[in-house]
Amino acid sequence: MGELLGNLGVGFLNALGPLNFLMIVAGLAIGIVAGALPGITMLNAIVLVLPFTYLMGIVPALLLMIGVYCGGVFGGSITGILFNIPGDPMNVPTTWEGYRLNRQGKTQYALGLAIMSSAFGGLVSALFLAFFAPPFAKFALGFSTVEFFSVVVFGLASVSVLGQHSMAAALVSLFTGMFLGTIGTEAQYGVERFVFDVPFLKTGVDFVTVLIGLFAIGEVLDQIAGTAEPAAHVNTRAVPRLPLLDLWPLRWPLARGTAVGIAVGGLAGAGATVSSFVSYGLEKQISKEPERFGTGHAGGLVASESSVNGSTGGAMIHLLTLGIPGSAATAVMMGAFLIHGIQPGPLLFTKQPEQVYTIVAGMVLANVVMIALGFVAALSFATLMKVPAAILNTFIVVFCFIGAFALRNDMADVWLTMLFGVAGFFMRRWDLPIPPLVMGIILGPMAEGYFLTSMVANGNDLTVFATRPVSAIVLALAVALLVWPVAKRMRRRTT
Amino acid sequence: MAAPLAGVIVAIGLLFASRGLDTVSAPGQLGPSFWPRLVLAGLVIACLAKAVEARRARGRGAADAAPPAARARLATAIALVVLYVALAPLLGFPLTTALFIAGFLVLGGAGRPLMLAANSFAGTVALLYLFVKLVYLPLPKGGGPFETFTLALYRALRIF
Amino acid sequence: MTRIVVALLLALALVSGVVAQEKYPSRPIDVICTWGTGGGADAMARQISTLAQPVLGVALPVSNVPGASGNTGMAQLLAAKPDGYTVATFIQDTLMTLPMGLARYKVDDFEWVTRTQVADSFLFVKSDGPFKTVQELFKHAQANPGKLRVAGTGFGTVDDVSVRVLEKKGYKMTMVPYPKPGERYASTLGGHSEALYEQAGDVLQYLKAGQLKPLVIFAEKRHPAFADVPTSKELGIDLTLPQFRGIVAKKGTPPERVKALGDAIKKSMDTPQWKKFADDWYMSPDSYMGPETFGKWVAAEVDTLDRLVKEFGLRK
Repeated sequence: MGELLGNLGVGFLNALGPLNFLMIVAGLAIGIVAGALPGITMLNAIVLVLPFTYLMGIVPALLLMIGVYCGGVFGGSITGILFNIPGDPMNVPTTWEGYRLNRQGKTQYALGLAIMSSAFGGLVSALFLAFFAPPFAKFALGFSTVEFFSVVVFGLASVSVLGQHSMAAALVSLFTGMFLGTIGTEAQYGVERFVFDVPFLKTGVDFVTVLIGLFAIGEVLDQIAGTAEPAAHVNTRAVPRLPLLDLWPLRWPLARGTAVGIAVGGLAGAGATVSSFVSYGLEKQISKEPERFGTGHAGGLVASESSVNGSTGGAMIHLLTLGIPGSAATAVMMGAFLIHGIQPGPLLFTKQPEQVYTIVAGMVLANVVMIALGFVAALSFATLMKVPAAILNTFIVVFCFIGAFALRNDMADVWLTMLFGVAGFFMRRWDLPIPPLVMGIILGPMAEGYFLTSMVANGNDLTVFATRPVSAIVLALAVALLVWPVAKRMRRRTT
Repeated sequence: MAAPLAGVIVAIGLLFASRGLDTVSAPGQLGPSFWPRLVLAGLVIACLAKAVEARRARGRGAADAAPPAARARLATAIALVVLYVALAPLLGFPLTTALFIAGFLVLGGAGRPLMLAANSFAGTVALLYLFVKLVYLPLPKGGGPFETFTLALYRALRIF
Repeated sequence: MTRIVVALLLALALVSGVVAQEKYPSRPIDVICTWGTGGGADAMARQISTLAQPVLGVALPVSNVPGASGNTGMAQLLAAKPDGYTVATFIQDTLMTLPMGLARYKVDDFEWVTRTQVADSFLFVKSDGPFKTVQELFKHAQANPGKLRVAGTGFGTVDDVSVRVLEKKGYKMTMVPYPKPGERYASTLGGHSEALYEQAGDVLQYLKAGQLKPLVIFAEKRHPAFADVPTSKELGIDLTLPQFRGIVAKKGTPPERVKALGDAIKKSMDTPQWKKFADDWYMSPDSYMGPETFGKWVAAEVDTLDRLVKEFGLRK
């Protein structure tokens, strides 16, 4: 313990050095802005800063990327709350509640909650990384694709939470998303599915094209057609409140969200998106007022937002102690390590403690600094509400073009994005909810991969999902999540 | 009512299209067609449920049609976006983006010439510096003379 | 207004176009990495990009175009002009799509500029697991056909071929597909698969930490860094399908530009930085092949793979 504290102390001193600290701040700023810009995702940003990191040492390089990572997963919630355009898929549940709160005139409250719960989740998970990384990593290796599959199924089951009016509509949307996820070259056999000789479909449909198409372009078209609902109060002076006291009544959702974030990020390495959906679903199940979810429920916002940043520390445990990137963002960071000739993995903590603990300390600092930067960013994006809608809409389309292109440097992704934009417009018209579709295309392929691998590894024995205890518990929770609303409706009818 | 049933038909059509997917042999394992079939079956059931629901809710709250003016604006907006994407590989990103910004602003009712010029020029140049110079994004350069133009523009702006 | 400016800029373009006619290279060369960031192909592309920049005098920005075992990036290379300003990475896994009938091009559609890396594959097991030698592993496989699980990349890949060659020798094991490298390593480390098919450089950190250990190398001769690891040949298994990575350009690129690229890459590979990089990843010392030999070698590899695919009935 003493040695650990000593290492951490040195780490903090190093991380506070001028260059290192500058990298943290710069990374956070880039991450928050990129995350918030519709069209440019956190992943875009982290890939785009990668070439710059070659010019630096590994520590500032990693601190820059960690800054982008921590800021990026949060940034999307700003534009989600303000404009109903989540910057990244993990901000979808936050948007669901936050935009409602904004429409009720509680913009400052919503932004403040998002900043504070992100920072809290991130901070706790970074401390968890500092103190428990090696033993936790050992524990995490015990989980296999069987457990990962169950967790993803739980995420998919939370669709019952997202479907507001009609479960059937939500399921249509979800299965459509899952189907879109099967298009393209399948990973385990290398076989093309549903490509119909269209060359660009070979690569499949990237979920980012769906996300920014349906949300950002769809929203722009909706505004142009003049069908977007008018706000109750347009709050152009949206100075976020820093609601330290506001958080106290929400302490349990906050704690649960953070715990889910660390667990899902660290155990499955599945990253922020899965944990935000799982956390939101769990919160609704536990909440005493589930019917208020989707109408601007602070608990739902806090739970999803804290789990998003809570997952960052968990995912870093996987990367630093096992050398296994669980999410796309940590995979890029792994690339940064390799280019500097360092293999992240079991030896990193013992062979290069100074570097590792500087990175860990930097992550703790990043989450503290994020409160200030998040505040500034929220303020500046809120002033965008004063910019004429015509200009805003125009640049949203241009950013979506660039963001889609940057995915694979391919025009096909730009076409897909615009196509989904038109689809998003009509989905709004036909009362088909958009979040389940986004969820389906992200979680669907993960579920397929984990399921098939589990089947091959266990001799095609389906019972394995029930005989492994963690998997059994998570699946039981998923079933409860699906059955609960139906059961409640039946009870209401009988009484 | 009609839309969900159309969904059922499409899903069944796709189920047919999933025949012949199992071209790589892996004896005794679920092939690559297993999962999409499961998903499509789910989609069929969900669409049927939606159809039943729509039938029950018939008569309540018909969809509000957009006024014709809005519909024309929407069609123009979609056309502009499609043109933007279609022309970018031919004319290059800088030129198409400048034109698109101007066009979309006019459509949005922000048509003052000074504002148009400022946004379309300054905006495009700023984007070029950010994404081509700083982050090396190989945005489309255009074909033939337009490629020469884009390259010359990049050189003039000291991007290359 | 816009029109005037366009006209002016076009005029400017014509002038500058004439002036800039043109020594090669005079502008950045796009390097398409056909795999995602963070993997072996990405590391290679970025090393070449960094080291060749001073030689060529222009930047070589790497853009990742992953998907379809590298074929998405190939499609993009084939859509570009053969002017030497677009090159791409090409690796073994992409080559395998040719005999599997999943690729839409032929070996002849490329200028094979340079083979930069060759690495042999191993079977690894957990160090504290029950298997100490390859004989023990194979004996267990013989006694319990299909029970042992080998983590590999997917069906219809080189990994799959190797496992089937072993099956033919009487060592029947099940290949479990883990397309993501991280999941593949975690499955063996966590005991969810008994063995791992991989190149040494990719699992370096677990080898150094003593968590994984190599049992057999699929090669003709032993690797100097793993002198006590027997080769497949010693065990009577005739199978060497080395992983390779290289740089290709589109067919029709002017020969002097192919040569310029090839020379620049050769120079990059002679630097101490590259030597260290290659050693870190346990690359074979005879990795280099220039434009003259690389293409012929690839054609021969495809013939071998073709034969194996037919022999094992991998294609339905």
